[in-house]
Amino acid sequence: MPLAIVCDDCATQALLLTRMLAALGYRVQILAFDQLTLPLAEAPAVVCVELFGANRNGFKQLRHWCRHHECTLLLVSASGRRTDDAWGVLAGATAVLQRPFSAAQLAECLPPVCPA
Amino acid sequence: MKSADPHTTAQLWAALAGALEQVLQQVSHVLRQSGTRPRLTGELALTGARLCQLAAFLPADDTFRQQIALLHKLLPALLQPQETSVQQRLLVPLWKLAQALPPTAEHEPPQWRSRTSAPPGVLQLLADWWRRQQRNELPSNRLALHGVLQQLAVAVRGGAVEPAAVASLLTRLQVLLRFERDAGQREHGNRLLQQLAVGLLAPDVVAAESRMQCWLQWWQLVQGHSLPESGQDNCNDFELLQCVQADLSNHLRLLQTFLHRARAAQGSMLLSHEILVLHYRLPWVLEAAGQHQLSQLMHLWYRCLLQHWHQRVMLSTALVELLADTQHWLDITRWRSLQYESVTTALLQLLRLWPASAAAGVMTVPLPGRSRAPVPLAGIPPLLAQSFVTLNRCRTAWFADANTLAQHQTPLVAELRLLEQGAAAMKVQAVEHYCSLLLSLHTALALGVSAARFPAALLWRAHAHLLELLDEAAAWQDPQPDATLVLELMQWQQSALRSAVTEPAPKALPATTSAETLALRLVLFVDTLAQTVEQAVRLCVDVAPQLTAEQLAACEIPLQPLLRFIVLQQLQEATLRRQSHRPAATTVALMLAAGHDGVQVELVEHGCERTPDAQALRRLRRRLPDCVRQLQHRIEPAVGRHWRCVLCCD
Repeated sequence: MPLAIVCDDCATQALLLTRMLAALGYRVQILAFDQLTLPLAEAPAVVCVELFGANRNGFKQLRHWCRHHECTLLLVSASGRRTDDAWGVLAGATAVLQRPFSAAQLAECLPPVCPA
Repeated sequence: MKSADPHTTAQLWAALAGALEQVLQQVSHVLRQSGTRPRLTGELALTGARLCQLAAFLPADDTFRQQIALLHKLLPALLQPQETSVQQRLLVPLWKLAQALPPTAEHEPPQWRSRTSAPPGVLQLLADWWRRQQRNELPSNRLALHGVLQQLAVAVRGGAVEPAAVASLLTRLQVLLRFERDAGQREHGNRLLQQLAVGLLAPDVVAAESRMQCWLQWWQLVQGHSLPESGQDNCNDFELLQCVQADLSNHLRLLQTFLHRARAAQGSMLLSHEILVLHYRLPWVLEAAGQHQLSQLMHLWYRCLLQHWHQRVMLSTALVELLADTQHWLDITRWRSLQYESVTTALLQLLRLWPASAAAGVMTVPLPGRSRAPVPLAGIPPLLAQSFVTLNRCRTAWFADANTLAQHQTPLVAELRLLEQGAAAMKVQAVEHYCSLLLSLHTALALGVSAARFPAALLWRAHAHLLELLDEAAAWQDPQPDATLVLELMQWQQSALRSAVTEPAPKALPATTSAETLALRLVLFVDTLAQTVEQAVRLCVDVAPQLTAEQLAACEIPLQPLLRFIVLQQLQEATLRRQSHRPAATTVALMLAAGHDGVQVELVEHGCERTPDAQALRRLRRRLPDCVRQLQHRIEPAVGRHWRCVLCCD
């Protein structure tokens, strides 16, 4: 199963996203960004980065991931700003998801998972 | 009354009913402000007096007479600005009046006269209200509820409504809801009121269908229809609830620490980014737990705090206390016992503490690289977010040497100029100043610095740092440029200019005879002067190739008084520029061309649209050497101040 990383320090949001990704066939790990050392030993297929967090900047994280891994990078934003879409893509995101989003909308942004 | 015959009694009651209907109509006009207030209140006073005189024919102990006397006392209160409390006080006697009318008396429904000042719909509504009042079908508060709802609907149709205006109208709704006799309907009304507030102030978080449903239910409530019981929001997902509990506990822990500091600061504290982020997440955590109503209210809290953050408004003591008071909304164990009315009261208090919209006076700013039409302030962030493609793509290799950089410099500088103006417009001064510094560096680089000193690593670091600052600004953090790097960049720029000027020219000609050297010397002159007066001025020099070495050599000294004047003028321009959301740094373009009677000089101070005062101009003319002739200036709107003169180099 392909690996999906969720970078979000909000337990509730991370859990909901994890469930969605697992339902789409991903093996999901929730990671705190400040505990990460990139590049990871196992290259992830998908990384989901939440825009805001405690002392954390989603745009900077995107650039960091871009430097180390070539994978689908999703920026998740709940700010309601359309500017996040444009700046997120310039910062390296494959797609930007605005909350609330459905599992189908998430699936549209992800590469298809081959059945094991 | 006892001695009066039945016919006279019926006439009196008919007259009383007629006078009362007039009072109601005029009260409606006053509350709806459908005319000049003095005229309306004057008419109301006259009709009220007539009603009182008619009631005097009733026995002294008649309840109806007593109620009319009370009403007569209350009518002048309509002149007071606190309409809500007046309504509250007025509606009780009106309602009691209707109750006091003898049930056996058969009154004709009011024959409403056609009045151009009142829409027929309202008259019909009043007539209907009167009939239903007589049948005791309609509580008297519903007429006023209808009026306030109509005002809200009109305000919404007129565009975005300020939170303070929403608070004012919703407060009236809340007061009127207290007259609702049915507790269930009252609770439902409060719930609808909260939904209405969210729909008005954060429409993007409520589905259009839900917003329409909310309005529909309001009209149903006003018409006296029973609303369906709202289902209790429950979440039975234990794992999810554990996460919610953990997030809310963390939220409360951090909030309490913040509240402790904020209380100590007594209204002189700015919101921290950490608390803003906590409130950014909170609605979604509550939504996950099935608390849709609380989640929507937290969206409003977040928007209010976001306004404080953007406008750098201090957190008032009242807001801090409200934040403390509403902490119990986040206690899972207390969700079932939350009183809708107390939640509504807190919500309305929040709306009243909402900071007013900023920059109401300045609605548009000009941006470079666009058409001359200025851009609305609200349109700048979306424009900026998609405009910096080159800045985001820049790589270390671009800064390897002057030739490589030259290939990318034009789009890079264009984006930096746009960023400088955009950051100034949005008042992100740290980014604006840093961007001005980078533009100065590019100006210096364009003048030609020898390859041995090309600062490849420094330039790359500078641009990478700019992206960091932009990421921070885009994520609502407070971007702070690296002071060490800024100092390093400034030192490099100064030393590069100085060393370039003092370098021996490659050909055996005097130093001031090449266009590059003249440009360098003038840039250095302006830069040094600007630093002395602590103003940011960028000089861009364009020298026509037709100019001879002798002509160039004769340009430097005569131009200095004019350049000095322009730099010193920036001291007066700074405040104006800041007020009009323009960058603090001024770009001055100097163009030298060959003319039939000497060197044609043209100077443009971009963004300066003020005519210099006559006295300063006279002083300038006295200081200019004789070779400077035909000095003229004009203002070109949306471009800046143009200067023209001729240097006679005989």
